[in-house]
Amino acid sequence: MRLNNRIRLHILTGFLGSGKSTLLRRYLHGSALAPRVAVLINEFGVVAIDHTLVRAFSNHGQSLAGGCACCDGDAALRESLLSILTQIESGEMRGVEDIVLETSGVSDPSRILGTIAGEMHLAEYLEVSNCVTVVEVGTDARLVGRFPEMQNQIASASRIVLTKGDQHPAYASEGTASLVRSINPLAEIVIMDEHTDFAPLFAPATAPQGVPALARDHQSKFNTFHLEMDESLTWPAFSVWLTALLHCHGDQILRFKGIIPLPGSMTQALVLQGVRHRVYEPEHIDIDDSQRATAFGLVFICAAEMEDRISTALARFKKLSAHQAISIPNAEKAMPLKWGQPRWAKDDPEVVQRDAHLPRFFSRARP
Amino acid sequence: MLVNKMVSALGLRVEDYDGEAFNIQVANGATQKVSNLGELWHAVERLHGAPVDPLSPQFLKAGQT
Repeated sequence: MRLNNRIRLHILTGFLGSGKSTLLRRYLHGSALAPRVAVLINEFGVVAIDHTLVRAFSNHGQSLAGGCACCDGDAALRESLLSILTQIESGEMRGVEDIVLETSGVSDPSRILGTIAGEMHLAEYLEVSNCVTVVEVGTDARLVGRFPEMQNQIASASRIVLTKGDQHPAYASEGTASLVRSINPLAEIVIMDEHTDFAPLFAPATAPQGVPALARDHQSKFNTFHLEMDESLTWPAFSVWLTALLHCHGDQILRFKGIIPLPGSMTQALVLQGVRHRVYEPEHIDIDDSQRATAFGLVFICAAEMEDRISTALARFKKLSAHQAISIPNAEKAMPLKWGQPRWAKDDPEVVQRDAHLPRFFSRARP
Repeated sequence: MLVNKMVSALGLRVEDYDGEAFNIQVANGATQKVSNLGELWHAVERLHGAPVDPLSPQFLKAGQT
């Protein structure tokens, strides 16, 4: 039972000097949205560990910190997010609906997602909405090849903003766009210029329609591949396989997107997207007869060569699941995707005691 | 159900618990309830000592039993 809407958390990442803070300032400056956005900035610096993360409320203040949220700043990140949630609940941050976390230039956003998914309170009250990655125009394959952090940031993105295009000739933007597309064909790419409207920066990304075609000639270290799906494997059975796969190999699966058949539906399918161990809420899409033959498929972006193993395993699982009566509790809504503690943990005396000091925001409905 | 094809070789049995959750049974009679598939694989790993890996060749064999 959900009593409060989840607060949306957006991750803003990008390599050192790519223009994250500038972008965030332009987003908040004069924006009608600013009062409902809390900002958390994690900088890779030398400040004492105790002050690893300092929160600031939108443009009323700036925060500065040392340590990287995806590595040693992990506990501090958790604390800061909990503290923001507490302040939203207590009214100190009235009306806040979104939190923007600006990561350090060298952080791996998918590890931050792991922190949130792994912490019961965070997963319960925060919904990771977008990962926006800033890439400077002029970034080339050699530079990306040298810094795995940059590759992870690009691969995890739902939206990629190309900045500083005005400092380069026009063709440079297209070159960088095609480079990032080759690493992450699933992200929406925005080329920033003087006409860019910043208001929808953290609006849900409009990913390329359908399952994108892949360029085969890219030089990233990632294994990006496409698997065909047909109507023989539908959502309930597929979710069994996918959850087991992510449980075992989520560390290696940076991003995936799939369009999966719904059992018995001729007009709808399910779009599924995820980052590492985390799967976002599935969405329904309408498909018509002409799309039906080609609509279904999966794209994976993996940190290691996994195409053969995953495609063999999926084919095997298809055979295994053929003619199986499938009974999955809450099949449609359930895959969901809370990877934190099960709701039964709420009755665990240890958990109840541990949570006793938490403010009302965290009081939990009994099942 | 399908999940049992994946875990039966490990000596586990999974049942639908009132359409709301999964009930995992171990051969020694112990049971554990989990509320969704994500939790299920965590629990199976805890009970069995190793995760069910859909990419491993053994998984196919397990599935055929």
